[in-house]
Amino acid sequence: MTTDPSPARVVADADVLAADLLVGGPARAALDRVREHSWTTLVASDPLLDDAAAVIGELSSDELARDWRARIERDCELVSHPSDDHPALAVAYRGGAMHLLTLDDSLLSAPAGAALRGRVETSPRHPRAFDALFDAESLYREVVGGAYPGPDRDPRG
Amino acid sequence: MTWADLFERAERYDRTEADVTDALRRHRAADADDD
Repeated sequence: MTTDPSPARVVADADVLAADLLVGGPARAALDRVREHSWTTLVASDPLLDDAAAVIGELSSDELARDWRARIERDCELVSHPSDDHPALAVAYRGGAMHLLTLDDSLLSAPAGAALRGRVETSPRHPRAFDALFDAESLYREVVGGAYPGPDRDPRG
Repeated sequence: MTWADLFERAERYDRTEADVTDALRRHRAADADDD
């Protein structure tokens, strides 16, 4: 089962999820755009979160990885996909995420973008590009309607 | 547990984007080898 694509639905690959927690910078700035707007949806899957938690556990501690997992699961909508699919691409397809945030050069390359177009209605973007392009006012008008009221959630909450 | 709490705890590890991308590459390569 798939969800209709929406510009308000976002998937972050495991590298961006881990960098959000452990590094900050562009990954955190990009995911703050999602966290601070209740009308956007972070879409994920168990395999995708497993990958991110494994990276977090390796680079910090199992306890932090466990607490991160418990917190992120409250913030995202989980979809299912075959276990041998690339997690982020599968989530984008099945979860209707039109934005795929990744640090993976092989997904960000022009040939990869061209190969994806027509098969999956999603755009792989570096978090820095997503943060720069995110236009909350026009997106709000498109997906909710009316005047943009500003951020409605605490991104650190 | 808030995001502010998690970010504060994560700061002590002082990681970089390269650390993260390398670790994910290793993790997914190991997963592929297991299949």
